[in-house]
Amino acid sequence: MQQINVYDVEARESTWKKYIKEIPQDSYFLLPSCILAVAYPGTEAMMPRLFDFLDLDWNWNLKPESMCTCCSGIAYHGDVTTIESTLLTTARLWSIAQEAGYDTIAVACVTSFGIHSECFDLYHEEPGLKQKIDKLLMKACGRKFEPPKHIIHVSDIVYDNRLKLGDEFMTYQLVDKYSGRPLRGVDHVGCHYNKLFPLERSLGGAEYCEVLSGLVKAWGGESIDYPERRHCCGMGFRQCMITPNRGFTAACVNKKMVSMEPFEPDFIVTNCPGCEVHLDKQQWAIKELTGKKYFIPVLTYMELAGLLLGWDPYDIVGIQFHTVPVEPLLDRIGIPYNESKTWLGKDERTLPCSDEIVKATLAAGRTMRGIPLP
Amino acid sequence: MKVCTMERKVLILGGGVAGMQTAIALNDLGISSVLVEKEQELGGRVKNYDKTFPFFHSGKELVKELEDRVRRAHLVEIRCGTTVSHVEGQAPHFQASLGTGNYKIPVGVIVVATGFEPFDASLQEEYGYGIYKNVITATELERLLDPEGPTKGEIRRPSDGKIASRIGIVFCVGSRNEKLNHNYCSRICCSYSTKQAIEIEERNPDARVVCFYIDIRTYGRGFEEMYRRAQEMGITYVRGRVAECGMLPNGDITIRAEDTFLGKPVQGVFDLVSLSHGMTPSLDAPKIATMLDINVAEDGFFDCRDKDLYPNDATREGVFLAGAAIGMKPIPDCIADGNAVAARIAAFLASNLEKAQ
Amino acid sequence: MTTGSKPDWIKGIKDKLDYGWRYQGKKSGIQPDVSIMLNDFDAELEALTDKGINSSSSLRCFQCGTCIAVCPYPLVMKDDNRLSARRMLHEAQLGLLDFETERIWLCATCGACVEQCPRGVEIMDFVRNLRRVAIGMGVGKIPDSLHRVMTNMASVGNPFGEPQEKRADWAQSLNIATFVQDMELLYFPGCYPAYDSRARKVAQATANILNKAGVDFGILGAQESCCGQSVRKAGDEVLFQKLVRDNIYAFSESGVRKILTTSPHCYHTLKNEYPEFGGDFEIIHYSQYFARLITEGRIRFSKKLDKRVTYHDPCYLGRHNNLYDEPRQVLSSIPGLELIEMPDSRHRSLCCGGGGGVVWLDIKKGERLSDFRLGQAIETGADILAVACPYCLLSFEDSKLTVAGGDGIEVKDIAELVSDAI
Repeated sequence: MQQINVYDVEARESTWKKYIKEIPQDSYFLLPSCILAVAYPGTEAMMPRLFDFLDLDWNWNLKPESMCTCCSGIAYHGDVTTIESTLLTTARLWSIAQEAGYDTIAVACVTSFGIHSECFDLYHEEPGLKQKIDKLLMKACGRKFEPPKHIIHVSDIVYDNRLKLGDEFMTYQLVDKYSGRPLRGVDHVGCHYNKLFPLERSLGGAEYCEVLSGLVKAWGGESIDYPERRHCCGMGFRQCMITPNRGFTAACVNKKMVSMEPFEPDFIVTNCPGCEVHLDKQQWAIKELTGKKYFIPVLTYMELAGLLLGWDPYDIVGIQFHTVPVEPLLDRIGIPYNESKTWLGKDERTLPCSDEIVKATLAAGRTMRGIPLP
Repeated sequence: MKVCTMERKVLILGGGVAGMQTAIALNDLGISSVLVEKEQELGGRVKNYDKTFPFFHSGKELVKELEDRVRRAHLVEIRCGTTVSHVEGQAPHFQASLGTGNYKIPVGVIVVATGFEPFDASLQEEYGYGIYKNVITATELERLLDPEGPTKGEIRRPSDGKIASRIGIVFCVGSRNEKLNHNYCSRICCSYSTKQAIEIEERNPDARVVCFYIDIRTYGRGFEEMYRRAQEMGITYVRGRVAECGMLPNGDITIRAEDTFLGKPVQGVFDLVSLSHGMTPSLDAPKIATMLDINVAEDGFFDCRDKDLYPNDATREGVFLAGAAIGMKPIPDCIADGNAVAARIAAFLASNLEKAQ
Repeated sequence: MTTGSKPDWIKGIKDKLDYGWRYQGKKSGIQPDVSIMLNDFDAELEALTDKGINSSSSLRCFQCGTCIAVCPYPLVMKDDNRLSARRMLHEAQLGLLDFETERIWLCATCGACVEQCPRGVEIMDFVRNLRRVAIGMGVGKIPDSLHRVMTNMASVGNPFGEPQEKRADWAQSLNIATFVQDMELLYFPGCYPAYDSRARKVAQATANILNKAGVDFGILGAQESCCGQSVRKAGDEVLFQKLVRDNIYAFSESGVRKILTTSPHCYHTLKNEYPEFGGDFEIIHYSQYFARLITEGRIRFSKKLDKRVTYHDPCYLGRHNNLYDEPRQVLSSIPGLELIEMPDSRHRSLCCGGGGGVVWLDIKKGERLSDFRLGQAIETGADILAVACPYCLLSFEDSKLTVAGGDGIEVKDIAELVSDAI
């Protein structure tokens, strides 16, 4: 097959290297995500696991009364709440972090990352805002806060440690087991990661963001550049919230799929929960609406790391929650998996499943252990 | 009118079109000059251009003609491959050191004709210049169009050498852009791009050339007629700035823009995309400004003593400006600048006759 | 979360989320991509160029917008996407042209755009070529009414579908001779004055004047067909050439040398387009002829017409053929007549919407160009709106019924006014 990627790698390196941000090496306060825990629980459960694995100093909720909340990003961007509510929520989260003694916030979700960056920036832009929010926070829950020193995303941490993970700990590589060619990975970076504050907050800038591409390259794969690479996944908060608008989201994902198809990618890696949900699930919707099966597995950076480190695909990484089957990719890499666990959740409890899917799976000749048969 | 000639020469920095014309005009007036050029050859940028706009005359021949005249001029001393390293004193008693500083000459007046630098298109990352092989700049396209150039005048694209039949030309790369701190318009890009489009269409009548623009600023004499001719030849003009370029597996470049006349987005696939870059001041401009103690304006080009009445005088007495160093302009205007500066110098030297002796 | 009644703030959020949209059970498909794809426009562009649509004239358009600024349609049609020469030219330049729309049939070929275009783009030819392609290639939907008219023209040589034999019926009571060789001129009334009950009065008035002035003239009646002007502008080139051939044959056989027309459309095509097919005759419009007759003293007025009259320049007499003064001269000669100039007169005249086949289209009341123009005439305070074209006559008579103040003004042809005053 002809060489697919003919872009100049060196020129790209010199371009993205203009946007380097400082990533602290240790001491993170982890702020989990609301959607990620629900849709892809494995990803979030792996974060503390990876931090412990790498021996990093991290922390999160310390007391019952200081539970982390959603950053209110989806409500704010969906035009349901005002910016004051968001400022207040983030102020409380920062206060909790400072109480625990950390000045670095490590966020699990890209929307949260965007929200925290925006709030941080607002305090710089608007004098007097800090005093107002101080007053409100004291009135609401009796806390005091300061803007944190560093706001980073967990994918930054993984990027920072990618070589260490890749060289010392990973048992598998992103290489096709049979032919030996590097697997082609498409990197999809969440919009709020690199497009809001490209100079200050992104690793690699808005055009050639490196945070995920670097992971793919460090772990043996090949990073693909295709025309719609910078295109938003279409989640759009208010787009996906309102049913009649969802055609927009599906159209965005469709546009990306059509554009990446000639490059024949093997997988997509994302760092945003919203992107993950929609790139994964809209592929099914596209199949239903147009009949075209793209079915390119979509993984979060954490799942990718977990799989290559050799952690159990079902019990730890949680690939059973994916709509697009990830098993073909595992076969390619050569990761073994226990297929009987495909329909089981935590502690071997069965996942709820509709009758149609049961019928279709049985008709395809597969087993669904634990599901009561019709 | 007696003008000083022997003792105090005129120092001309830059041997391009403006610099050479200044030397020639001074020679005609009986004033001697020293023409200092940092490259090994005279001619500046125009010596690489096969055709100039709007009349499609040869740039190389124009430069050759000028060079002939300059070399035949008795009162012009030509120094190539060297720069001016230091200048002391006040007009009309400057002391200039060339090269490593050993060769010192007394000069009465200095002319800055250091020209321009094409904008570095890789700074506009969304177009992928340097990263996508088939995105080239207008200067490179000029070399492709040159019958004596690397491809002998055939428009072959860099990635695989295929003859390009679908070409996209992106206007306003690097100019009129606040993000890059270039709020000015580089004026001649619309015109040279149209000229290139016409040349492509003439070479290959089946070619499809699409130009994406914000405005068409073919302002000069003969430029509008050239634009009309380009349209009649079938070159398509889409009013909408290009947002980004992408690349397909076979090397084709995709462009995304908006057609503001129809209010619809436009996507196109091209074999070759040429970025019509704007011009920035010469990279040596800040250094020269410090050396000569003259001001540089906000846009980076040299500042004039008075923008209306003294457009060729620098902010310091005895220093004059010519050519693209004060702002991008077409070739006839550079020639006019050279003549204007010569006249200004003659006047200056005449009024400072006793001091200069 | 405790069970029981929900607190107000939760209801508030649900309302905000709901907006009544959320659970409407609406299904959404994938939103289509409306982008223009430049990579597949080459073949279409070739096709359009071959058909004369992308000639160097229409490629010259640089989108200044003068054409749609002077076009009379925006005065009556609020949805300005319906007719835009600028838009269509740019779409042709990009190789996309939506033949499905009714846009291209709306142009009344009044020529206001061509007069002002700074780049000299032949916009009327462009529109005509688009229509030609639509009819010839069978793409795009031709309005039904137009289709009927074309069929009638092809079979009986007039747009109404009336029998060709009845073409001279308007002259029955008037004792007019059939044209024979060596007569001074042929009077060619055109289809509307020949068949339409209102327009017949114009033909009869003209014949009356010519008789009173002692002019040696005849008519050909059933031997002639429609001049074909509107047919060519509507895009049916084949039908046009058939009509031309038939007419040239009829004229040559009878030895016609000089033709007097009522309609400026007939005048325009007989004078400018027939020579291409070998029809070389001297064509004169009745307003020119009457002006000459008045100067020569062959028309004498015996009655006074104490009326205030305003004159509407027909597009095909004025802009297309530069005849502005003769009709005014004729009107001014009528004793007692006070001539008032309307706004937008002479070369700025606003089309009545009759040319280019538009007279046969079904356009909504209130959106007709003649409505607007009649309103302007009424505002001048005149008693009579004088016209020199049967399409104008019928369009304004039609508008009279719906426009406010329409009963206060009469619409009359110049021939009728002269005939009344003789």
